[in-house]
Amino acid sequence: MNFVIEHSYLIPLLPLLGALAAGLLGAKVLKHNSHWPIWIGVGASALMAIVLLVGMLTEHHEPGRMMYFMSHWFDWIVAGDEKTGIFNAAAGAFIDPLTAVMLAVVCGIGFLITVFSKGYMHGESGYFRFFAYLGLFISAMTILVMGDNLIMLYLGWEGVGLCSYLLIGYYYEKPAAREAAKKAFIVNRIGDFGFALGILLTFYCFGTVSFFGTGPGSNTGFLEKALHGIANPGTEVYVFWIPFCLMLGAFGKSAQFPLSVWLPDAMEGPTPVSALIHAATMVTAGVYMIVRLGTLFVGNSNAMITIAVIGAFTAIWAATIALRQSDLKKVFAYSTVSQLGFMFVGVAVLAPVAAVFHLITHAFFKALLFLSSGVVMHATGGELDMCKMSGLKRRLPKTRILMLIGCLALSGFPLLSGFWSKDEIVHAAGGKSLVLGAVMLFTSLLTAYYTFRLYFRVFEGPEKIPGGDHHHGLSQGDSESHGPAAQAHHNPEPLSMMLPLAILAIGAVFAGVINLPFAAGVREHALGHFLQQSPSFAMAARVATAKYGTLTDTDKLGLGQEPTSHVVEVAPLVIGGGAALIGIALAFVLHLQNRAKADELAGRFGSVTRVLDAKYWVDEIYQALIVEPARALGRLFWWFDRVIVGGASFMIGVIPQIGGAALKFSTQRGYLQGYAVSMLACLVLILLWMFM
Amino acid sequence: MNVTQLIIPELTLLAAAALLFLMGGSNAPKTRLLAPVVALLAMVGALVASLIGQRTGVRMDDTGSLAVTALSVYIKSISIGVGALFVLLAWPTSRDGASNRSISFSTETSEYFALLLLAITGMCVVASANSLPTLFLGIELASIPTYIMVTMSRPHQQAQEAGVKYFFLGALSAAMMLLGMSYLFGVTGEMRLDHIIDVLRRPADGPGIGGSLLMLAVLLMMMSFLFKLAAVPLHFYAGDVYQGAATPVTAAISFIPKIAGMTALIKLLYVAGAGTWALDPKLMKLVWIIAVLTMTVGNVLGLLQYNVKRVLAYSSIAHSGYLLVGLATLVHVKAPEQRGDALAAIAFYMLAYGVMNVAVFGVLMLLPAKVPAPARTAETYDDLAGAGWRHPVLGVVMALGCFSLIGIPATAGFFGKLYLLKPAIQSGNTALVWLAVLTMINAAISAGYYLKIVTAMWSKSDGAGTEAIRDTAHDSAYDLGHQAPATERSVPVLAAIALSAAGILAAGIVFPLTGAIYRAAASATAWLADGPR
Repeated sequence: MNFVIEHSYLIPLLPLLGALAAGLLGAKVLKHNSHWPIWIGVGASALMAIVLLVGMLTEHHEPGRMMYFMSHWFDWIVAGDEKTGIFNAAAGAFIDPLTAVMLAVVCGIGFLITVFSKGYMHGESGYFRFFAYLGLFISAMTILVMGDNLIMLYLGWEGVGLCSYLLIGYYYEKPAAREAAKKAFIVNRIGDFGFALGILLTFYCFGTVSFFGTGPGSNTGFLEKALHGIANPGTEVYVFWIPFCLMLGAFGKSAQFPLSVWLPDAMEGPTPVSALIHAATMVTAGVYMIVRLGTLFVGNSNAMITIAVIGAFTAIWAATIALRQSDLKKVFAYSTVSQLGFMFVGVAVLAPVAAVFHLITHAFFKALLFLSSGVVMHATGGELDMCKMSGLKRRLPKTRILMLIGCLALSGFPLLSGFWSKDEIVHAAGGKSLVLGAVMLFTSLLTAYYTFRLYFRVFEGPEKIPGGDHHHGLSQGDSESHGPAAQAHHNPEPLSMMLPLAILAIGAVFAGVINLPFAAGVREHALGHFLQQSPSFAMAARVATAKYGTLTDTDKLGLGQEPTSHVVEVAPLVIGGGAALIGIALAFVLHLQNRAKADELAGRFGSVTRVLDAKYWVDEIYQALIVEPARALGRLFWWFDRVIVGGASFMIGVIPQIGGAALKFSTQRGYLQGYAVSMLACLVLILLWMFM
Repeated sequence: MNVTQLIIPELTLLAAAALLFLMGGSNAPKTRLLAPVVALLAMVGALVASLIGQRTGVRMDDTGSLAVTALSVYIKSISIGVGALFVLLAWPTSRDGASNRSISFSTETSEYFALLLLAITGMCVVASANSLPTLFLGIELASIPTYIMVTMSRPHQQAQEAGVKYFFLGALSAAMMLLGMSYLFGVTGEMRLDHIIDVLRRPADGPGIGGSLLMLAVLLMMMSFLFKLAAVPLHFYAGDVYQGAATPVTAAISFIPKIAGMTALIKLLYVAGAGTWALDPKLMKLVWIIAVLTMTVGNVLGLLQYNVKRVLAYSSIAHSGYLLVGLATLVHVKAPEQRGDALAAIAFYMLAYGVMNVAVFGVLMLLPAKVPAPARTAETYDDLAGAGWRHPVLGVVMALGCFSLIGIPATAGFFGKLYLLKPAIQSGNTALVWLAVLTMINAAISAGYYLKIVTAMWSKSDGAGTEAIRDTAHDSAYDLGHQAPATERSVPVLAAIALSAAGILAAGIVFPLTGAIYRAAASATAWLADGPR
């Protein structure tokens, strides 16, 4: 572990080098071997991340002591002097339990997905490009979770945003992919504007952008200054607004309402990208950010309420849209938006451990679900519309089992990973407000329903395989289908694709054990105990204690403190599991037993289905409220630019030319005598002026 | 100190020049081909000697007519360094060693390089001159060879005309300088610059000594130095001369006399201010006005030209203006640190200008002219049209050079302007802040013609406007059908271009390097800023 901490820069560097190798040599030299540098780079990083995690887990610790390691890479941006205040953004890592967990998720799942991608992307044009972007993404994501200051976080943040843009637009010949890429990028601009403002405000108020300065306890980082309420004189009012600015960034990246519109469209990217970036890792960056900066947020109850409301609203809103989507990846996309809403609720109800717990389990089962739909897509020649397929279990037996595991985990089926993590959030939410708890519980039911609607439609029932007759790919995933489909018809489930899926499936089933509410082989709330040693958690807990008085048991759990009682509360577990079972049963009735009944029901509630089918017209509202006014403003600016600025610059251009012409024809005529006389005349003029 | 110890670089150059004149007696092609090698070796030797000779403090010879300071070492080093690039630019490529595409020596190859070495020697003498006669000799040694170089560089009427104009107007300016020097000597009774400072500082007669006669002396000398800089109102010759001369000569004469003139001007104002830069306010105002006029007239005239060499002539006037902006800042600011900043900025800009100039002229030399003529390469926008598509490397270097001349970030020129304007803005002096604003407006105007050069090079038309180059670039029939003259592949010129392009980029991107150059410039000029030594 010491090696990893000492050489922590290798974790982002190796995937970056791999990306460079794939990007520079891929087109001409490596060609269809372009995955090797990425496999090696990401694999090595994953190994380091796991060594780090295991090392930190086995490290002996006393309760109440913080565990962290700081590693300074190099001085990056240093500006200002003693008088004006020094801005110092060093390139360096802050490694604590939270970083270790995030690194393990990012590099571990990232590695599995790069392995899967080899088979999935085989034969694509731009194969090397895909892997180069993937390596770059992992590198940026590790910087995001390792950085020890806001600027590093922002660097990684923008880096993953760029990779997301590039990968969504991977099939850039397809107009839809281009549009989706632009949409993702532009919508994220709105969030990142808030984030940037938040960084500026932080520096303005605290005079530093470093989380912990020279280390927790030194009082040099802004988190500690916030903890002790030490802001620059006269800036205390602005401290209140910092969480709101940062929150905007988190909502943009994590696709929360109303900045969620980009995520469903982002499914235009290749499926492994949807799994890695738009489900397992990048979109959780917003949750990570708020957890990391919890000290700033926890004390600000307005901010916490805002996050809770937005999170809960997004969760139920996205879940209802997912009910009516027929595209596999779209269902999972809305599901991701909804699950991210769960995580935000978790953060907001002082249960950040539950949020991180759900982040981890979600990473496993959502990656599994996306990759499995990728296999389906291969087998069906790029078809993703669940209305056009049915009963695929005979053709894709292994995938069916994997998908079933993923669906069970997502819907919160008892004893699977999603069950434990989701329950913890619902429980914590219920502890804060019954309404909130009820909303989250109902959303869980909806989740189970739409998940199994998909499963029953696709894998069960009479067999119907689209694209089997080879005229595939007129609409969805056109270009994505060519190479892979042809190959996939021989064996739709090759080992290189099944193996990563199997590992993910194991994770989806058993990941819950890391934070069980009771001791079972491992300590109860192991993740909570581990994370509570993170300075971010410890400091947030202190703020919360100071602000809200004595914490309830669930709060303490959430913030990673020792619970006072060890009684397992069974009731919430039963209720949560029950909701999942009801949802699954409903789906079973409507989408396996009697599919006609489902359509009939949909017809009866025509107005509701229309609203859901139109996704609440959010895109249209965006068009009317943001795009059109922006366009009008753009036209105004264009006019201003043309007439006023253009006119001015035209004058700037013309006046010198007129002057030049005058000078040219009066003084530059080529006569030696003329030049000499002019020179002397000017000399005389100057002398006259000087001596008069 | 013995004079020979002080002038080893100059002696090296002089010895090589003498050798080259002797070699000129032979008419064998081999001797001609050997000439640039000798010149280059001499340059390298002199550069090494100059750098080794670096010492702190002032070293004077027994008569006091030469004083080697940190500034003189810096000026010598950059002029010899850039001078070496001029040798590369003029390298003969024809088999008989008598010419390359853009310059024709006929039989005088050795003599050409000898003259170039002499001009550089003149610059070195100016850099360490400490008496009026030495200063005069230095300036003339830097100038007279260039008159000949202009005339002999190509067998065109234009070149002869340019040479004659340059010579006569140069003689006129020399007369002004001598007149001024005689007044200065008459007023102070001293030839040595440090003695003149002492006289001016003597409290008995003080700076008021000689009154208007002293002012007259300063003004006349200043005019003459401004002529070397091609500053307004003594810029008239520049367009004709630069256009008439062969391109490598144009490159040389837009640098050598300029640096000599600027160095002399700094010395003159240092002396006139009695070593404390306490100048007559009206004189300060005059410097300001000339700076503004020079850059503005240069840039405005540059907009209207068709001939790229003429454009670059006006561009070089504008750059003299930028150097004068530094000078105006220098005489206006009160704090010694800001004076130091201004001096360092001028010194930095001299080097940056020299390097980017070589890049731009070097590219012009390699590209063929549409209308073939002896000793003529690309000169007009037409000649350049579409050249970037045919020779991407040259196109990129030209763009880089032009961006640097405009002062776009990530180039040496950006930092040159930044350093120039920094003390002007920091001083808080209204006149200087306005000067900075006007400089920036001028940079914007200059973009008008520099970008025109870049667009011409990367335009899709080949000048005739009929064929898109990109479509035919791979078509071998294109070259045969059009009989377009091929680009010259001269390794020395390419080396010069590569070196200067690398310099522009390195100084623009590798900040530690930029800082190191700036610090070298600052330490070379620091003693001047401090006032009385």
